Amino acid sequence: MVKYTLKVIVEGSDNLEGEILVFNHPISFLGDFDPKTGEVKDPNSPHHGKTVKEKIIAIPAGRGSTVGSYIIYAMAKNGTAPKAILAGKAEPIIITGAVISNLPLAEGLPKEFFRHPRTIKGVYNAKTGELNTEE
Amino acid sequence: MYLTKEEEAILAGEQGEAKRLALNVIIKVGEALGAEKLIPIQHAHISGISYNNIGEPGLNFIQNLYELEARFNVYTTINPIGVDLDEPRGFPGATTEFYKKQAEVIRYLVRMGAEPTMTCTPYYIRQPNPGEHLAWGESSAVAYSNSILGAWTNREGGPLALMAAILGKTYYAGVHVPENREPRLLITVDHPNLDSARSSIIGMLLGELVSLEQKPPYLEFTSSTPDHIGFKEMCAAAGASGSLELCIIPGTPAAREAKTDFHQLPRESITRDDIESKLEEFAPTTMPDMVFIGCPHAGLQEIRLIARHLKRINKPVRNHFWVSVSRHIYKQVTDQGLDALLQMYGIRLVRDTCLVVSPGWQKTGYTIATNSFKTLFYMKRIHSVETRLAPIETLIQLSTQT
Repeated sequence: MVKYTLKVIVEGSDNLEGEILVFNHPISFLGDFDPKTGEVKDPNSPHHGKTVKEKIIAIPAGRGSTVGSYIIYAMAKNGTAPKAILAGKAEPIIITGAVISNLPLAEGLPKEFFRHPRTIKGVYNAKTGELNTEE
Repeated sequence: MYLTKEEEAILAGEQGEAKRLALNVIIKVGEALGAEKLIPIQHAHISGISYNNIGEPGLNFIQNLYELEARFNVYTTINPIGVDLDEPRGFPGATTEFYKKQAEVIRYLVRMGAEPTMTCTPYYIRQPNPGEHLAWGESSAVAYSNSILGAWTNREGGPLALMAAILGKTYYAGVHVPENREPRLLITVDHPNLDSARSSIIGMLLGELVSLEQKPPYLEFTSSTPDHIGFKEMCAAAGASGSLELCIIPGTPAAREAKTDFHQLPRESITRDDIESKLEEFAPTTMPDMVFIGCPHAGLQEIRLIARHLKRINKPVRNHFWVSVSRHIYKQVTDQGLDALLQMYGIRLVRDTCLVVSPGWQKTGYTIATNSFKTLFYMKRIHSVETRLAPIETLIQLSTQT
C-alpha cells in the first residue's frame, strides 16, 4: 500500500474504489477520449482502445483543446466519465469541466507516479484527498 | 477570494440566477488556481460551439443559461461550428437534424449577445491591444494573442469563457499575473527556411518539450523566423500537443515586458534535423484524397499564397481541396475576386467551419493532407482518419500532378 495526500479541487464520495488507469502523457479530453463510449482515442497512448468509464484516471497534466471542459461534461451526462480525475497538476480546462460536471478532481500526484503507464487498484477518498494504491 | 460588494451581491443572487451561476464557477476555478480576486476583461471568445463536439449535453448547457436570462456583458465572439449554415447541402456528413441542432446552439449564443463570428481567428475581427486582459477559449487563438499580439489570457475552457462573458470578468491567475509571464526556459530554433508546415512542427515539439514548470519558454530563432502564417501554425500546434498559452518571442510586446535575462535560463534546442525528420515522418506518399488548409482559419495572406502557387502551376487540383475561412475574411476574399480564382482551379472556400469540428470524416482508406499539425492531431483522434502534413506549396503540387 502506498498513500498519497492530494489537494481536493472538486469533492465527491469518500470511498471511490477500483481500477486506476495511470497515463504517462498529458490529456486533451477533446480527441483523446470518445465522449460517447469513454474509449481512449489517442493512437499513441499506451491505453489506446481501453475505456475510462467507471475507472479512476491519473493524468500528469492537461493539454490541447479548450473544448475539453465540454467533453468532460458530456461524458458525465452520457455516463462514460471516469469516477475521478487525479492529476499531477490541474489546469483551467480540466478544472472547469470538473466543476460544471461535479466530477471529483484532485491534484498533487508526484511526477514519478506517471513514469510508467499501468492499471492499478486503489481507493480514493474524494472528501479528504487521500489515495491508497495497491502498489 | 476577495470579492467586491457588487460581486458579493451577485453571488447572493441579487442580479439573477445566470450571473450567480457564472460567478460561482469562476470563483471555484479561480480558487483552484490560486486567484485572490477577479479582473475585468475586454473580450470573451467562446469555444465549444460545434454540435459535433459538444453534442446534446453541450447544447442543453448553453440553452439552460439562455433560459436563465443570461446576457453577455462584454464583447463576445464565438468559435467555428460544424457546418456552413448558409450552405445546407455542402456537407455530406451533416444530417438535417445536425443543421437544426447546430443552428440552435448559435441562436442561443447570439441571443445572449455573441457576435456570430464562427471563427478560431477572432483577432482578425477585433485585434486585442497589448496588455489587454481577455477570457478566450480556443487554444490556438490564446497562444497567438498572448505570444504575438501581447494580450493576456489563460487557456480558458469553453464554459469558463462563456461564464466570463456573462460576468465581464475572470479570475486573476495564470498569465494574467506579470510574474507568470517571465520566461523560464530558453529554446533555440535553428532552421534556415520556415514555411507553415515546418513552423507547425516547431509548435508540436514545443508543446511536447516544455514542462509546466518551464512555461513560458523564450524562443530564439537563430537562422530564420516564421512569418505570420508560420506563427499561427506554430501557436496552434503548441496548443494541441501541449498546453502552451504563451511563448516569449523577440520583438513582441511579451518580450518587451519580460525582465528576466534570458541568457541565464536553462537551454533546450530544436534543430533543423528535429524538424526535417518529423516532416518526413508525416509526409504524404501519394496524392491525398483531400487537402485541407485553414486550421486556424486562413487569412488573406494564406489565400494570396495559395493563389500565387496556383497561378504559377496553372493546373486545376484533381482531389477535394478545401480552404476554410471566417465569414469576415470570406467577404474580403470575394471583394478582391480571389474566390473566383480559387474556384477556377477547383478549390472550395468553406466558411464558419473546418474539418476538425465538422461531422462525417471517418472514412476507411481515406487520406487527408494539411499544413497544420493541429488538424493532424485531432483528425487522427476525433475522426480516426489518416492525416499527413506538408507545406502549402507541396500540397498544391501533389494535388495538381497528372
